[in-house]
Amino acid sequence: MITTDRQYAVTKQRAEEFRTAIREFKELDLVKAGVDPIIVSAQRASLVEQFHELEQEIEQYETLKSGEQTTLLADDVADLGRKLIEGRIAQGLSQKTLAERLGMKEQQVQRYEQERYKTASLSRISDVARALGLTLQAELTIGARSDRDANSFATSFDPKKLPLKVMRDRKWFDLFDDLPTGEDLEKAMAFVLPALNGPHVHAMHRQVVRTGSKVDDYALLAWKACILHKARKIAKPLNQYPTLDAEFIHDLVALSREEENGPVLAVQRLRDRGIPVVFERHLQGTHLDGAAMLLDSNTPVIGLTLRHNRFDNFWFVLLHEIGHIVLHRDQGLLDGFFDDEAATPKERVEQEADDYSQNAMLSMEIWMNSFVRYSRSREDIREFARKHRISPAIVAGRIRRERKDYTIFSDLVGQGKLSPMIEQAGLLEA
Amino acid sequence: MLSVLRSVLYMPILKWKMGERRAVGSLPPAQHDIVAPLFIIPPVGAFDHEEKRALSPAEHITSFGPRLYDACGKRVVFVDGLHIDDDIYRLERETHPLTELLERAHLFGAIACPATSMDRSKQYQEAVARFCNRDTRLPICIRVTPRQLESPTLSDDLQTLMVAIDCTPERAVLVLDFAAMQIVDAEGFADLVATAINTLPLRDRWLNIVTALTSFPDRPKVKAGECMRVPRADWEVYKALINKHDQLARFPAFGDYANEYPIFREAVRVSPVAQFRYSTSKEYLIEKGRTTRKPNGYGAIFPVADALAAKDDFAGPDYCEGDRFIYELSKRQRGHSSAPTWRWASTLHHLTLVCRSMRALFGRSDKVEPAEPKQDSLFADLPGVERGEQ
Repeated sequence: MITTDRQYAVTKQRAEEFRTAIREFKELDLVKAGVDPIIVSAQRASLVEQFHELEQEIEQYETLKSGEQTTLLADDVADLGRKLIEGRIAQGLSQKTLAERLGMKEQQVQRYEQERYKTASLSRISDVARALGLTLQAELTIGARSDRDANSFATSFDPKKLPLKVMRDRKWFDLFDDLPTGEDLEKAMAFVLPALNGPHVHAMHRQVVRTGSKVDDYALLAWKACILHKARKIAKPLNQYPTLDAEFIHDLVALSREEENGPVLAVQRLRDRGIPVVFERHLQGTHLDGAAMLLDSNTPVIGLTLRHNRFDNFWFVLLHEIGHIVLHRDQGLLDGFFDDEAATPKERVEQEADDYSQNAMLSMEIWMNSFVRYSRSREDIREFARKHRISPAIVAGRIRRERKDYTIFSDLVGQGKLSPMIEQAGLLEA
Repeated sequence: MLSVLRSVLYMPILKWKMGERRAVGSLPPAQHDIVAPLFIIPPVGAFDHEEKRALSPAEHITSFGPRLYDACGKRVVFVDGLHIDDDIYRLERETHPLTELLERAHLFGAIACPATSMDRSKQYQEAVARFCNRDTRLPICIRVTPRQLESPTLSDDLQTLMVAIDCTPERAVLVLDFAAMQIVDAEGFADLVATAINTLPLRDRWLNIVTALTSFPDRPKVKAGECMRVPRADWEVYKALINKHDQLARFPAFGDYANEYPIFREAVRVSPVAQFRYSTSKEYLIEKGRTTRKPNGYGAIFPVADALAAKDDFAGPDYCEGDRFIYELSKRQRGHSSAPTWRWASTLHHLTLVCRSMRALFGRSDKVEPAEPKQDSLFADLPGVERGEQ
């Protein structure tokens, strides 16, 4: 959301850059250079999606500034903060002017607007509305539920069902110092709040959970909250959603050949690009390998569980989550994708992320035209991996998946080696 | 001699062991025209069942000539010395062991032709070149692995090889040697093979092209008294390949490893387990019995023969000598014999099965027409002379 004239100018500039990038995007040249067509297509789609988003933000800001909009409707209390910002823009007021009217520093108004007035009290919200000359009205309907809330986990939320013991045993309440003191239940509620009622998360039922098993929603919520807390500790503020082009992905996959610390280097590379990758072991009842979600509108997060503790699984899941980040920002990333790699993808978005992951590691065309798919020879696998600049674990993992035989080539997939590597690098803590 | 190889439909790739070479020798003459076996000489320390001990490299070479002639007479066979292309063998002799083998065969009247590949030593290729120069009527065999097939430098590598061995493609049988593959999808694999054949360098010049593959398992885990069945995916692939006749630039011959896994394992001196490996058109059967250690002894083979002969899969005593042997065992009409003989019976049955299957696939009769007496052809046009009379 654009909230100031300065942001408007920057966003217009960025939109123009995206327009140029799309115009000059040469799919054929990239394919000829060896980039998989699916990755090329994903990259273009990502550019187009981001461009449209910027256009929408620009259009919305211009509409507000024009003064044509005199009524701002909020469906939910959670939307109130955003509407106050829109109201300020529609009045033609700067953050500085509003701060002066409220008798506070401009930075305070900036902070409120950044978090969409999440931490502002009801009386403060009322003050802001008055300072903006807005009239607040609320309509509360008894009995009938909105479509969004019809099946909402959030509306039937019972905090006692949270996995308190696990949260305590894993010292989650100690890890994060922004929690209230008091009983564990109170801490747990505060802990999961960002995952449940944050501005970017509306309802658990909208999250895409790919699994072949029954899911414990509360365990999933707690795990998600932990991921978000960990991500917030290391996230860098970003002005725009990170771009992951084909070259970046290609270089990331090439790190898989680093036997000593390829996964660690990949995590660092993504963090440097502004995408926090954090680890937390899955909770019982969640059956998770990984997840992708948004910390804020510009910061995607990847959470990994290391459930299978193998290199091939690591790379597949990591690139699968990257696939969600590249392809599905507006198709569910806000609420999150939660993945059990072994489960058959039921939704289109999951199949797309699978295809993205497979093709990022090795183009389907190369794979389908190689005899290595049928090989029993470790030397063949190593040679094939060397030739295509990927880890033998990736090739062996793919063969195991295709043959549905997870007893073969166990030595090549690095069974049991991933967790110690991540732990030694200090990545499990943060 | 080279023209004979053009009509070969089947190349069994066999370990140079007693049972296997005797099985080749036992194939009836009616099958000889379509079979060109490739024998792999075992590595150092391999146990020899005839001598009942591990032979030294020199002994393996010395015994080669007479054994080959006993088994195969004057039929063309190929010999691959990849396991003896190392210092252990080379240091014992002045000439390369491959040359010694081939000359031994020649000495005893057998026709052994070398098999090579692109990854052999310089000395090995020189030995092949010596053979090529010695008799230009004889063929050689080149084995190409899947990795070599997928190499972007395949064409250059093959050209380099032909120069190194002083040979031309017209004298060479090219074997696309896939060895042991896990075939999860015969059609898909056949598609890849078809593409490989169609894009082969010098495709139309090779004397013959063979696609060799096996789905026989490595170390099959079968309990005594049980029978394991493994699909003959190698045969399914070949049939799928031939079905693509409208897409194939050239029809390949069929190659397999009979009922063995391609890898040589270190021979250990243990009492063998009584078993028969029996092939059908769709499956490999591994009929397993008990160990021949006391108190069982080699009589442990009788219940195995009983079980096999009782199955619908058993082809019957008239199918080939190997089946007759199994039948007679089941009827207690002969002694238990020994492991090499059991292997002879299994291998012979397999070779016979494949020969008949190939003839059926390509519509080639196995009738052996009597050769026209040469003298008669000289007099055919003369009046008053009937054919057959001097």
